[in-house]
Amino acid sequence: MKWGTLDMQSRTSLVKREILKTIFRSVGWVSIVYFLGLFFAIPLDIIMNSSEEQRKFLDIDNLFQYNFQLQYIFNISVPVILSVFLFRFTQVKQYSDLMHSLPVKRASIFHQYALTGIMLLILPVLLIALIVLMLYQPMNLQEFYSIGEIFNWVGITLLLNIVIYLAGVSVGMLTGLSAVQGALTYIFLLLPVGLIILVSINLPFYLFGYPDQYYMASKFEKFSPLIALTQMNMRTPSSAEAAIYLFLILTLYYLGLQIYKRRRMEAVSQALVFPVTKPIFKYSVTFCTMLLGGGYFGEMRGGISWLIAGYLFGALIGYAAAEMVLQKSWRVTINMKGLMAYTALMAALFILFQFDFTQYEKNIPRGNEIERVHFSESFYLYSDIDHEEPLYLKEYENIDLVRRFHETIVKDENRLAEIPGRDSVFIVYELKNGEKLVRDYRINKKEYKPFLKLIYESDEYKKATNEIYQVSADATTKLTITPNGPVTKRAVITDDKDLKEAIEVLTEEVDSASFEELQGSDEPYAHIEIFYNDSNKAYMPWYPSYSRFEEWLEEKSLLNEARVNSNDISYALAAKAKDIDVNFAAGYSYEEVFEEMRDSKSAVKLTDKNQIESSLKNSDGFMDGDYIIAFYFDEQRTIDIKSFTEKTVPVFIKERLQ
Amino acid sequence: MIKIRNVRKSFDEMDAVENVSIKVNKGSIYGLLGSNGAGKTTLLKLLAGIYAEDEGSVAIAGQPVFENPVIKEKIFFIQDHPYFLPQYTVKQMAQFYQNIYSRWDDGRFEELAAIFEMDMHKKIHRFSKGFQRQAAFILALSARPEVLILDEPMDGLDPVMRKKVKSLLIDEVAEREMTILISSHNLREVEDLCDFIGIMHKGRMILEKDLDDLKTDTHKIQVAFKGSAPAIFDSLRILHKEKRGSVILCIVKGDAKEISSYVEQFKPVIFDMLPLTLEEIFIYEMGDIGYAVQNILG
Ligand SMILES: Nc1ncnc2c1ncn2[C@@H]1O[C@H](COP(=O)(O)OP(=O)(O)OP(=O)(O)O)[C@@H](O)[C@H]1O
Ligand SMILES: [Mg+2]
Repeated sequence: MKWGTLDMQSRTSLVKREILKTIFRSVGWVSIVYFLGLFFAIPLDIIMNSSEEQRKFLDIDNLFQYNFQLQYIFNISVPVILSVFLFRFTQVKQYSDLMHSLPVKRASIFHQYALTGIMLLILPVLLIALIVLMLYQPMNLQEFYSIGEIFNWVGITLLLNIVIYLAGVSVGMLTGLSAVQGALTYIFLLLPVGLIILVSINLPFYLFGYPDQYYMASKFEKFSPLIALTQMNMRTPSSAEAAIYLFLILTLYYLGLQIYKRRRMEAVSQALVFPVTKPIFKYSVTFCTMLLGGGYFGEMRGGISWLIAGYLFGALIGYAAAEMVLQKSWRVTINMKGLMAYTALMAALFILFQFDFTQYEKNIPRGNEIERVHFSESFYLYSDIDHEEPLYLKEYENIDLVRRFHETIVKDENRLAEIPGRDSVFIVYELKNGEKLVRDYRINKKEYKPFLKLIYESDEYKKATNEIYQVSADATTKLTITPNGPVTKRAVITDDKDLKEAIEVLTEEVDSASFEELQGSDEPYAHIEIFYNDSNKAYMPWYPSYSRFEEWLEEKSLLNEARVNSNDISYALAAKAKDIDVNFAAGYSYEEVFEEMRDSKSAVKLTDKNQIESSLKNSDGFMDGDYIIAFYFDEQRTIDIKSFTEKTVPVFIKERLQ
Repeated sequence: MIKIRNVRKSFDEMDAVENVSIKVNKGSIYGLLGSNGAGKTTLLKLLAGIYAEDEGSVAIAGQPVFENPVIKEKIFFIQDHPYFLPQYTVKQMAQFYQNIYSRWDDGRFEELAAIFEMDMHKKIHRFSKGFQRQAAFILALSARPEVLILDEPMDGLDPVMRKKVKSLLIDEVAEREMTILISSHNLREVEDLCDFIGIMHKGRMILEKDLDDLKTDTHKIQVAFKGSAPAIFDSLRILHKEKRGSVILCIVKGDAKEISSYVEQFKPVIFDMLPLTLEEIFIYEMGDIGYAVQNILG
């Protein structure tokens, strides 16, 4: 049945042809622009990259990966632009009066506009999908992805677009200004994530050990379609997520309709149409900017007075900005009563948190409750390992060590909270009842060395943190030792017997390595890669302290290839650091410093191989020593610069520089 | 036809319309007068179903207007600044209304467009203010409303157009008993059009009058007597009285014949009965509240 015939049959038909027409006239262009954008992003890209040569380099396995950024920009902007322009008639006084004097019920107006808007979003996406379907066979796209991926793309794009669009529509029903509609829509869409972040950056000030990074990274992207969209090229949302989006779509639609029905048309051109929303808006903005201000100033670790100053500053700015938006003027009148009540509430909350009223800080699980524990120096060691399980300690002694270490930190709370350390300790207890307890502390490792030494030197910890333990000597095919320096040489071991020996020696080295060695304060001589089981690779550094390995290499006459030595260096220049301008932070390159040393009278030149060897051994890579030394590498004509302290500087250099 | 009872509408605690009641009979033209901010537009928008009333009731043909398409079909509202869908031509607007208002009369539209020599294919927002207003009239009348609501409709029309529009409106009322509610700042602008007028001030209706009654009811008389004046005035309904020398000038209410036969009894030296302009009637009639009405009459 055509709309027209329907129209004639019932006088007050649901759909008015002319209303649809006016919708197309006013926002049809958005749909067209969207189509063109997607067309450039996907079908055109497919056609342009169709030659064999280009296809070789294509790394695409779903439709989102074609010009993902472009698609993203369209996906987050088009729905909001559409909702703003579509409901212009609710934000312009005369337009509103015209539309609302027509003999059409508000519900009917809403359905016609909102649904047509959805149609305008759906059409371009479907058209693009159709085009891609038509290209699928001729362009041999099955080499990249299945047909199902096209429907996946349609589904995900539409779900997320419609959520964003309906958020725009619902927000639009609350406000009487198009600009506010646009801005509030994005704020609304980011609000869940924003709040998690804001709360997470503030809680560490109150809850000693609160792992802010952990909570901020805990899949919060799902809470915001804007952020979820940034990942659609890499992951497909689960059906549960899709169900949530669908639920959101229905809810937002219903909400929009209900708000629209209750909207007072005289409030057009006010920032917020419903009086009740004004204080909510005002104090929410104040609260958020307060948290932001506190988070920002608090991060600077200036102590509690800075934190409070940050809160006050943030709250004032937020409050003033919110009032300016609401009153649509730079000069605002302030409601003192409300502000006082807010301040009192926040002060009460602040004080309450000082007493750890949730017992958060003192909560350490008992040893027999713990299944296993993750212990590392950074949240990223827990989360960022590509698909690999993070390190866990399961042995009771080690778990207990971690617990006791944790207890000690908690006891030191007052000191640590005042002057937090530079090192981080990240602990995740996994309890037998399935719960998790996560903590993050800032300490100075030196102060807690006894604990750390025991943990780090335990077999279990070493096994879990050193890849060499995963290597079976029988399955090893190759071992390469790449010197740490500007040389191209490297030692390669492929002989089965040698491989076995090497792995044995290296395993022993790690077994007996002390906490200090493993902390790697010495620059490694070389990087070792062990290839085993076809495609697996284990990596480990060769620290100078692994002297048995050095001897073994010597025996096998591999030492020359395995690390940088005096043979690679034709000469070196040494000088007192204070005589040379070595400010690398100011942008000096090695070459510039080298030039300067060469021209300087206060620098000496070393050519004796033994002296160079000894200099190599004793210098270290940090540039903060009292003496600096520049090595000239023949092979690639490159320079490496290292330094000595008063203690480590060789006598022959010290004497010549007197 | 139109029945507004004890209506109140407030914006942010401020009452824009307060306890207003109006009754307008079918086929009559009601003029709503008031100075700026009196609440005229607000009242008209309540009647057009754009605003919802806070209290009281707004009914047309016995039914509430708000959210009632059946009634709103019969109403057409022209805003104080006529507004059209963005980028629309007169023709497109006509198509739009034709689809919305079932009583739309295309023949009438062609006819009116011819009378006004309207360019139907030009975008309306490019028209001058006066032409836009004419376009609004054409569209409104073509929708054949039973109730036409006009917010300051003469604003921006030249005198020739005013006359043309007025006579069109009067014809329409006479022909098919259309009811008109019209707002204005200026009594003179609408006095030749309206049967009834209501004057609003600060949201309240301060005066409602049947204009025909007013005109036939109120008279200005000049009398002079030999010697001192007899106490004739006690039994007349005097609105105003002043003495200029021996001549007494007063505004009297009542039937013209009765008044003159009554006064003749006292044998005045001079006795004239003069017609009053509407303006004068208001000034005398209103006494205390006159200040509020000055504007409207000016
Ligand atoms: N949308 C609105 N929001 C808030 N206040 C309003 C709104 N519309 C009107 N008012 C206020 O209500 C009062 C009545 O306004 P209204 O427009 O009805 O007056 P009016 O009699 O039509 O005036 P004018 O002759 O200037 O057109 C005024 O004080 C005005 O400021
Ligand atoms: Mg007005």
